[in-house]
Amino acid sequence: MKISVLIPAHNEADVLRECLDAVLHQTLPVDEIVVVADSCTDGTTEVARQYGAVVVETEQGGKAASQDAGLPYVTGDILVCIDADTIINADVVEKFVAELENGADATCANMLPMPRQTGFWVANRRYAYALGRFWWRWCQAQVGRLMVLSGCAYALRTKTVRSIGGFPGELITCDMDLTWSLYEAGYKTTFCHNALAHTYDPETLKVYTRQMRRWASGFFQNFQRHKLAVVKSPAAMLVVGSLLFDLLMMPVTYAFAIMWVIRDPWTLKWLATSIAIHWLISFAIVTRTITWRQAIVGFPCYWLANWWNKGIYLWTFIREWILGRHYGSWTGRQGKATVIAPMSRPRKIALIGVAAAVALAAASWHARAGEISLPEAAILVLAIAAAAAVAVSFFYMPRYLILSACVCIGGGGGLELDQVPAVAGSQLLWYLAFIALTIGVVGAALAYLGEDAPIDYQRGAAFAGSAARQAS
Amino acid sequence: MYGHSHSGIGAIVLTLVAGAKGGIGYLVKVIAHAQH
Repeated sequence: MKISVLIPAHNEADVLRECLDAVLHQTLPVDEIVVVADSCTDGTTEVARQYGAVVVETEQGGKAASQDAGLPYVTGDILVCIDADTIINADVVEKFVAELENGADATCANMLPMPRQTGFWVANRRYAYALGRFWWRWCQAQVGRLMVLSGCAYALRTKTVRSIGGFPGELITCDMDLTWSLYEAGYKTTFCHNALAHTYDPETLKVYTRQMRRWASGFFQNFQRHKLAVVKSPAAMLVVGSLLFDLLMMPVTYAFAIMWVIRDPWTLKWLATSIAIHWLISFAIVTRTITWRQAIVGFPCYWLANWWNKGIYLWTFIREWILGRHYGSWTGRQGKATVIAPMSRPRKIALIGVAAAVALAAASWHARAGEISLPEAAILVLAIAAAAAVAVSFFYMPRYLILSACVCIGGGGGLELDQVPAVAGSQLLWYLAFIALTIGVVGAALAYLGEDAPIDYQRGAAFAGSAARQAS
Repeated sequence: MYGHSHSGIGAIVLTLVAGAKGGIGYLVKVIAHAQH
């Protein structure tokens, strides 16, 4: 059995040396190292050659595309994928191989920040990774649905990745896309919690936020791409669905909590109790991986950073799924700028339609009680104007026009038959309102169901690459 | 949300299900071992 290591790198001469040192000092020796130097302008290729690696020079502009470029050069049966800025422990390859021989199709290591790294954001990550090792990721592995094979260090059989057409590189978090694609193909993943890999984590708020935005965007892009497979799998619904449920429930939960605290400040004692319980349980878990001192420093950082993370995820949910503005740049350690796609025209139209419909619903609700007021009339006029804009725009989108017209004609016919709630005494206005409502809802549904997919999957890698290059 | 941490009702459900599954798996292993 031959073991290959694949390392994609982009201008990482400064960290590649220690990565390769770790790979060459494994308890189970590796047979081959393939380094893909993607658009490198520093000494990455020279460093790789010094260590006897097969060097593939390419200009892909993305991690998965680089891995794909290196895949034809891999001759091993087992493929260990490592990031260039990651140092694996000496027994990682041995543990990976044991896991694969034990029946897993793919497995991954638990990551930790580099021991020499310090600071608020690193302390938070150290705590989060240590907690995930024996709690959250352990739970995911138990139910058979690891959220993601940690991109910095994982292993799978070479034929497995070839069977799914190589490394999927269309979405902004390719490691999650690979993991979910493996599930779709029926493969089994495991979490090798005893294999530890150290990686460089963000040290500043700016870099941390950029990484979290990418991760959050990748989560929602992946969910959208694999939604049918997620919905069909009870394990996926338990891990991924519950996570989404918790995120969406969060504003509601906290709104109630704030209301209760305002009414009775003593409610805060429950918050203090919950924090204390969380601290006690998590402290017992994380100290199996990190020191007591790191755990004491890490908890407040982890607790506070969690609020920031949730805020980022909530906003990303709105940006990716509601506004349809997709994150398309690979930022990495090189500090490249974030590139976010503008809202598509169908999405704009759909949102205008929905907003118009909501305004109309509010206006007509009030109109039932009596005379419509001036602001309500203004809202009504605006809404009808929006509906007209939608109708005009359909000249460019016949599919929308046909579908919406069918619904409108059917619905309008229905309105003629029964009691129609009059807005300002005019049935015509209500009819226009109904058109706006229908168009908005139908438009939103069509936009979501794929009229504007997050990224053109066929040329997704090229899109991500060109976006990253433009930003650099 | 990238898989390293969960929080909320869903997280509690996940923990309970995973704990139950892990616990049952462990018991099955222990019983099988004892029978041999």
